[in-house]
Amino acid sequence: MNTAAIYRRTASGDEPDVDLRLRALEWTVLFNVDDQRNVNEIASALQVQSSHVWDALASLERRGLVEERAVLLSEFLRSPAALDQSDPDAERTLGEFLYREDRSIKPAYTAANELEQPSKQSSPMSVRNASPAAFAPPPLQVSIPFEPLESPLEMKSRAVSLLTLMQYIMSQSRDQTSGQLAVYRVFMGIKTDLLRRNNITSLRFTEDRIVDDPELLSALEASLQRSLGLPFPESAYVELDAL
Amino acid sequence: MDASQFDIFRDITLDYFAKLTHEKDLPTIGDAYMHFDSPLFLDYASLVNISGAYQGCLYITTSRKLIEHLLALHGEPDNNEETRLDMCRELSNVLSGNASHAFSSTWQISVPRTLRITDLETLRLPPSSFVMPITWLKETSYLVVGLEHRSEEPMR
Repeated sequence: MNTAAIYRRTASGDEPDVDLRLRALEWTVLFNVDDQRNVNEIASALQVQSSHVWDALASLERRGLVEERAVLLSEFLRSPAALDQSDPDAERTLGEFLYREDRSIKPAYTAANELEQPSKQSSPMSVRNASPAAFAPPPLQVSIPFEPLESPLEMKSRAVSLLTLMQYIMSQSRDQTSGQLAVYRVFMGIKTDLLRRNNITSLRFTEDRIVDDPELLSALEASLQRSLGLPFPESAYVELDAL
Repeated sequence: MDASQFDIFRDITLDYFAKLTHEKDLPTIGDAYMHFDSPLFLDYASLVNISGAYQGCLYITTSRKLIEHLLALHGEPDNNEETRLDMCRELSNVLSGNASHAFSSTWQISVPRTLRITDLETLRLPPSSFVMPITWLKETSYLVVGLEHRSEEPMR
């Protein structure tokens, strides 16, 4: 069973033969095939098991009333078939990870409505003449909460205090002049365009600036290593939330 | 650049001004800072190029008023562009001598140049500089060290 499969009605499914005889669930499923929802979503809307919908669809397909269509990646990912919910520690693809918290696919209308409307039709033959509400493509109300990925470098959420960085460099030197020249050597190795982009046109050795431009932080780290052979001090990082 | 050499250069440059005035008018040096914008330049500058582990320049840039103070202290009665430039050349020679004294063991020092602000457009100075403000006779001048890695385009 493929619960991610999406079906659409064929021309025969849109205007079934007057003599066509189907089981009640097959009629219900036929009415709910809309080229939008997958097997699982239809089953959820009808409040029946997916396997029953799958069986009904297989029967309808054999009769040439519906056909499976190709699905987009986004359509596939919203199906539980794409996810393994049984093991929270299981390895997942990026798509699975992004959607792992989202189970709230909400059909625009209820299964009860859908089930009632076909039964009220004077003739089950006229699928096209059925209530528009029953067959209008239901807008999917997929709620996908934004969940930022954690950066391996943890730079996105952190910034650097330039004063702390300068004090760290100067603390490695024997006197003030040596320390200031060492700081200058580090900054000399950074393109001034990058500094100006961060509104740094001048910098006193006692002045603090908080910078969070990843490119500048990367350049500072590289220049510190290249010029003085020093690692970037963890103490220079500040949490942006704390500012 | 060795810090002790740098201290010597800064101190003997300050001494030049100190010797011209009374003790109450001694020059004072402000907090040093780094400058990353267009070159810091007042009305005049005295400049030497240096080359060693890095390449770059040392210069002192001054206001016209400070040059006029120097002219007066040297007993020069005329105050015009020619005499002001003469005074700047004197300052350039002092700077060059100080740089040679401090750095000649490890750096090559060029002949000194005297520049007006109109010459700034023809200069290409290092984009980053180390600046020390010097206040003397209520005028602030700037002693500037600009260095860059040798692989970059040579300065003019």
